[in-house]
Amino acid sequence: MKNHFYIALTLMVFLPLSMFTQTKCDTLGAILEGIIKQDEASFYSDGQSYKYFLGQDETTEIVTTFYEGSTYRIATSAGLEDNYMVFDVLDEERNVLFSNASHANAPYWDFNVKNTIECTIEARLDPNKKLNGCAQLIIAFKKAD
Amino acid sequence: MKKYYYLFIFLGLSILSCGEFEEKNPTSVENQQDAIKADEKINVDVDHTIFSIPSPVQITMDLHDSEKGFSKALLHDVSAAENYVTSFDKAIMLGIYGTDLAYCSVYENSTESINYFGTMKKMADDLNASYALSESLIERFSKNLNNKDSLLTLASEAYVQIDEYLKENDNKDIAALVLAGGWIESMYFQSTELLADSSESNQLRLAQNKHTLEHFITLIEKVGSNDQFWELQSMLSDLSTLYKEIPTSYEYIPSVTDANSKTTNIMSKSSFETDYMTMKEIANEFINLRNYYIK
Repeated sequence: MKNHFYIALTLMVFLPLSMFTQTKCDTLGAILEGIIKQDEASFYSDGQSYKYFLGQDETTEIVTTFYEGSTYRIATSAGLEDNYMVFDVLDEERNVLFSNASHANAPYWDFNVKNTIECTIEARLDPNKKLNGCAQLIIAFKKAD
Repeated sequence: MKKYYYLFIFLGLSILSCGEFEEKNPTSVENQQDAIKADEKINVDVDHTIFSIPSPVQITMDLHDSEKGFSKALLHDVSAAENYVTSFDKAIMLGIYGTDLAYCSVYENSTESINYFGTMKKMADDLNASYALSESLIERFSKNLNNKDSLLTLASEAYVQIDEYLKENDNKDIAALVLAGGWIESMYFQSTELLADSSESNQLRLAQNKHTLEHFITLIEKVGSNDQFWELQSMLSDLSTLYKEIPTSYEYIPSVTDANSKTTNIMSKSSFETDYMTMKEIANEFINLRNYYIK
């Protein structure tokens, strides 16, 4: 009887917590899908999943090539509020081409590319808003207007 | 004893409601533990760097813009799907068939699109990734066969779902091979195009994949586990030797940002000095690489 009591205790405490947190991570993709389709823009995902667990002061880097004649949309999410993440776009010499920190941590931004270049996207949680947790980023593209 | 059960029910519900409160309160700093643990990295990173590979959809859209008509001869036969036995070969083929699907979708060939989507599904099943392509995606695909934009969106989503599923289930080596297969098929298309039309724009298009090639060599080194991986890496390194003959340069020019439209125009310039003989060698090497893997 005592064993049943402890099993019940464990289930009661951890099962709801586990279900809640799982749902939260899984919802990031849907949030980003909504951002990609915002303004009725016809962006297509680059086909890769960039999902992380970010700790405090932890930064992740995505190295990518932006091809000329395309418009790219970078979108980020780390929860229901849309300003948890900071991302910078750097060139191959690490010059900052853009930082969403200068635009209230905007969850997405578009980039018109006139000449093919190698870029690095640096992403991290804003420590003033969230200390750690799931984060997801999408790179989408469309032909330039 | 009964009162303890009520206490635990209350405790469980309290945890749920606390989580909701933290999420909705923008003034609080969140530190909640999410489902992914800190030591579980979904993406394959190399020294904390992840390499993004150009989408097959993007490359096939470029081909379509060059106003060449649909060519079934470019595609890998779906009936050959039975010929692949090892996980390595199946993963490469999943990528190849994925690019073929993107090509059919760009050219609005719905009959071929459904054939290639079905073959991708079969390959995913063979790689124990049968749940990667959700039922809703399959249903949406069959309902949108005559809508080019929807097909391209769904082809992209299929790639994301497979990539995410494989990475989350600790099959990062397979995920990398799917990307490699998709990219090799894209390069096969561009190379075939270059041999038919040696225009500067076609040479540049192929040259601009120089960095992506280096990313793949590093990625394969990171995830590789047997001789098949090292063989692929060696063939990519041969291509890299050829690419080194193309001088490149870069000039930084400050970007121009329009906050109202949330748009930044990237003005920096990189250049690739191509010559046809080198580009032709690279194109032939890509064609040989692709044909080495198909059976």
